[in-house]
Amino acid sequence: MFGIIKKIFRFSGTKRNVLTRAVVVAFIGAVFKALQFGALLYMAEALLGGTAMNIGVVLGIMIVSVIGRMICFYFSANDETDAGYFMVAEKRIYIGDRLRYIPMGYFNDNSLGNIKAVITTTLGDVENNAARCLVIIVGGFLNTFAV
Amino acid sequence: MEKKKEPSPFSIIWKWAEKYHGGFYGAIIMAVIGVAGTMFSYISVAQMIRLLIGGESLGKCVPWVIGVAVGYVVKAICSTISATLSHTVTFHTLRDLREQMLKKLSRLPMGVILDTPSGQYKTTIVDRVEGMEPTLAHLIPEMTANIVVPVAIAVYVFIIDWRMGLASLVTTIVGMFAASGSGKVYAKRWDGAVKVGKAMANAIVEYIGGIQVVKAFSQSAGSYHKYADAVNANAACYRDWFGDSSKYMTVMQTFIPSILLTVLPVGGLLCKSGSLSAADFFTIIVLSLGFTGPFLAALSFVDELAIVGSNVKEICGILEAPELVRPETPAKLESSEINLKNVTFAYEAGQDEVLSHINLDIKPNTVTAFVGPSGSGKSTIAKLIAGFWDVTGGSITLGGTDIRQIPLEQLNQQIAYVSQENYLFDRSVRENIRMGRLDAADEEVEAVAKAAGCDGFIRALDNGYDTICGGGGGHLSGGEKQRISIARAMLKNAPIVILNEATASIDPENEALIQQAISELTKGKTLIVIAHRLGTIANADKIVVVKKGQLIAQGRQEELLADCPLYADMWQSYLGSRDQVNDADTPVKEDAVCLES
Repeated sequence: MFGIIKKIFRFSGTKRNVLTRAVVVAFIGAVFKALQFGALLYMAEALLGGTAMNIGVVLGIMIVSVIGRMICFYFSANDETDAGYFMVAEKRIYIGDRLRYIPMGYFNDNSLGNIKAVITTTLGDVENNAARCLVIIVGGFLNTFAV
Repeated sequence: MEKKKEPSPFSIIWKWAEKYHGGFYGAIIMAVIGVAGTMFSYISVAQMIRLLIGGESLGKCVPWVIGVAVGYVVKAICSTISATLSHTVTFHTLRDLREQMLKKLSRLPMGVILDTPSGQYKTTIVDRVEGMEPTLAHLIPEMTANIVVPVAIAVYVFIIDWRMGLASLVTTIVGMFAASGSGKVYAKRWDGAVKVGKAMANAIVEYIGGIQVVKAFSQSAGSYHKYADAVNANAACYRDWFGDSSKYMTVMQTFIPSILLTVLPVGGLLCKSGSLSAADFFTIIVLSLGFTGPFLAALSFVDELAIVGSNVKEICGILEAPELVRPETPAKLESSEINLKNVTFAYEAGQDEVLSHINLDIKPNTVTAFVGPSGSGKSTIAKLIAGFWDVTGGSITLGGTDIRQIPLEQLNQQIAYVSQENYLFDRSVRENIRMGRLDAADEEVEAVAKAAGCDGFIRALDNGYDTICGGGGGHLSGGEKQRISIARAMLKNAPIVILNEATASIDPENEALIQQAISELTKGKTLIVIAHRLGTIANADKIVVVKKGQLIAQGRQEELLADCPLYADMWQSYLGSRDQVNDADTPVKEDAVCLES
């Protein structure tokens, strides 16, 4: 699995930084998400342990958590989309460019059919899934370690 | 909801899956039980908390610990069964659907099939049908389960405390509003994205398909940029789309899981005022945490719904296309005489007529040639006779019977249509020829190959008659393919042969061989030629001159040269192009120039 993650990063080409940023921001978003358990803990201690409770604190923590998550999601998801589609566009163009310099003998109906399939269908799957999977998987890992 | 006349995509899909409804119901029930198992785990945790807060010993919690475990095991087993069931019935449904589409293709007018790029059928039958898989296998069972269970949890929370019930719904409602906003963007953007995607696919096909030509003529820079632009436009389209909907997505994705935003403060206040017990409060917290996961999962299917609509439409486009209506029982044919009476034809109702009021008799064992400028409708007449389309008005009879009363199979036995495009299958040469008549013996195949002048070059191939032709006949030259397909038609031995002459010039040597093969093929048959070069048809029994969808003259060549100025012009032009010396003396008329183009 780590191999695949590494591969996706290598694949991302000039969009590598954008993709990394998406992962990091997604992780920060997850930290904001974890903040709500702080509010829960505070509430539990107050109700069960009998310490004084200020509803304002609970509300405050929750609002910070939600707003933080919103900001992080917004930027991370936009970065993820940008990286996901443009890294594939880059590869499509790269393949197209290579074809200009490949010896003529390489082409026949079969190899052309294969190339077409790779550029359309296979890369289509990559553009729809790769970036999102990477952010979810790496983000999830970082989360587990952080918690 | 508004009731529309056309059924929703879902009811159409559901109808396609008719044979497998039992399986789908099973999958739905299993999925619901599975999610209910998860819910049971949450309730068990809530009960544990209740006991612990009530000051009970840990021992009392044991049954609930088991409850949590049982809940998860049930969930694991049921969701596996559900997924297996739903995938099994889904792929059966898709198989049936593809079979239905392929059967349908055989009943469509040949003309419609010729007019549709073959890539389009492939995309619809392979990719679009595949695109239904997530809908059938996942959406139907999982979406149902993921909606049923949160609703059940919400009802349970309301039963414990209605005020908390209301509080727990706030974030979900906000999230749903955002979801509908993103749905609106989706509806607006989808068509554009499809268009850009198709443009990119076309650019790719053109660039890759033409790469050899492009390279040979050093034109790579220009067409490469066109390709690169299309690829970038596709990526930009999706990025902008997401940019448009990202505010909605953000609200949806963060609010729905943040149910504690309202539940914690409201619950805290209620606890403080003493109207909600701490035990109930914590039960509700645990439940509400179990509420959001399935709900988000259900919403993630909303995107699928939009795609389903367009997939279903494309598949229905094939399944519901008008068919040729033909009887099942063979008709009795008096002879092989063909009569056209007042034939009118338009490709689609309301469109301009391509042919109007054509009257023509074709006697058995004669040679009839259609000539005329390109686009005059001469090929269309021949295709109507071959039954590629039904006439719009008038009638075509074969041996006294209207061809609409003759089963397609019987008509196909009567008529061999030899066209300019000769598709050879990726099988052996022998099998390719045998397609003319499947029960033909090897000797018969070789006999027709000899007659069509193929025997020589076929034997020279690596494996003789067992040489594989390559997809589309790629390993053979154009002239060789033409002769093999003539052999195929010869084997069929139909009394009527319709020959669409090749427009593309073939080298003289091949040309002579092909002419020889054709004269073998048409010995003792009714021959209808769509002529592009007049030299080959000078001796026809009847030459029919077609112009702008009208039959303007018919007769033997001598008669036409005397009576029909258009034919006389065309003949002059033909002589001119054949004989360079005459060129200077022969004014080339516009119509005649079109003939060769």
